[in-house]
Amino acid sequence: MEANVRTEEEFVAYIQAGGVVEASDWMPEAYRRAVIRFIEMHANSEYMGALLERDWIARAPTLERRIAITAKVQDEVGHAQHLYCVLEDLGRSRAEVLRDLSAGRARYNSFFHYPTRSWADCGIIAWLSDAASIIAQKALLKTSYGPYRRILPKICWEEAFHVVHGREIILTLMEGTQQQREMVQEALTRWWPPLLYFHGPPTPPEKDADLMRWKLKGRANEEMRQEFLGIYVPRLQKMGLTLPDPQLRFDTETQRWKYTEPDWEWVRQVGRGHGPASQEQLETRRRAMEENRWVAETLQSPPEPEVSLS
Amino acid sequence: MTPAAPTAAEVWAALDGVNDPELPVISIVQLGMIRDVRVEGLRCTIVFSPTFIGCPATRLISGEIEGAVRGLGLEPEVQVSFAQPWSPGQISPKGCAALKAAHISMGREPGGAEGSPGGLEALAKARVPCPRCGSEDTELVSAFGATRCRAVRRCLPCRNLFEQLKAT
Repeated sequence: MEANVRTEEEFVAYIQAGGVVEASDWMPEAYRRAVIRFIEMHANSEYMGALLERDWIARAPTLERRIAITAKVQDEVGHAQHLYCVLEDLGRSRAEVLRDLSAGRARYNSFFHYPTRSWADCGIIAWLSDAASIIAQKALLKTSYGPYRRILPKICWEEAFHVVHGREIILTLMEGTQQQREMVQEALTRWWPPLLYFHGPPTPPEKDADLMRWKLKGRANEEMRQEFLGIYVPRLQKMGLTLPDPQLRFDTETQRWKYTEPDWEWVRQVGRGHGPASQEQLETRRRAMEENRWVAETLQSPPEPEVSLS
Repeated sequence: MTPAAPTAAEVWAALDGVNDPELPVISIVQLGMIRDVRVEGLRCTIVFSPTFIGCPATRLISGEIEGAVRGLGLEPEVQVSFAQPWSPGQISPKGCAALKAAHISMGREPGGAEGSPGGLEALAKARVPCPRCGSEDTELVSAFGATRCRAVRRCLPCRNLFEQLKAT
């Protein structure tokens, strides 16, 4: 960034003109806070999503599926790891972020506040939530914050690989027994509402500072949801699955998908830690932190002095 | 007269069109994962080494190799081999350039000696240039990135975070 950018006005003009901000650049405090809030939510969502899937490593039906879901968990934790590092360079330490997460003070995508019940859930999560994530992350590829912008293509490539993995789980089950097909339908029925909320409540673009002022994201929530519905509703229906929303249909007049309006206040409450599985999952996170504390302490402690045995 | 069967060179060229599923900027040939291609009549044997044992993309890549080879009219037999472990030294110069453009760095010069995993200490001390500014003053953040064949590093002068491909 040019050294003469020193006021918020000049800064906004710089990013409005497509300028990219680096960690070492001067930035208004409001921008720094907005970037931290945005990336922290993304990082925590990657991490909490990984914990959800981690539970299924030992229960995967075949060795190959176990390898795949283990690798997926590593991918998601790797994304979180990368994003936590970006936050460190913005002055938000990893210890603070993880402490807030454990204490239930942090926000993450409401999708990851629900429990998993069957192996079909792993297919739905990998296929559809990762597909929804890609739509959200593609809208960030031109984000004004450079270190975030450079990581996103790799995150998208990896999520695209997860989509293949998830779709394959679902296709295998759909080509299986009646009981397996029912398992998929039951999982889709449970996960459909959280998938519909995935991109968040519709916000008027002019009020969305992340979108308009700071150029952190490139598209409004409702636009992303419409794209998701446009791609996946026909695919799911073609597979013979039923979507549990009697109002869901494509309105040819408005060229928009119509759906039953979610209770957005409930969705906000879920995102703040009042979802069906929020506390259980945070407890898993706290236990993981506690059980593995010795590893972090060992790695961070100074080396032992050499002891002579003679 | 029947048309001549495709040659091994044509198979190599076709495989150069198959990209790594998690790094779609580089082909499996440029990554150095294809070890041998033998064509005998209408049968073709392809020796393929994933970047690490337990790579979750092994079956997916094998399927794509089969598809590319069938596209030439040959019957493929993919042999997954770990006889010669993969390492970043086997990435072609063209592949290195593509990875660098995608902000992924290698710990060694392309075409160098066979790399062997040197443990955490060697990884921490490796001179890995930042793909953004070129500085070698970079620190190891984590021995593992999103996959076992990658580590995460940070450039100290420009604070860029990037991934490094490594032997496992």
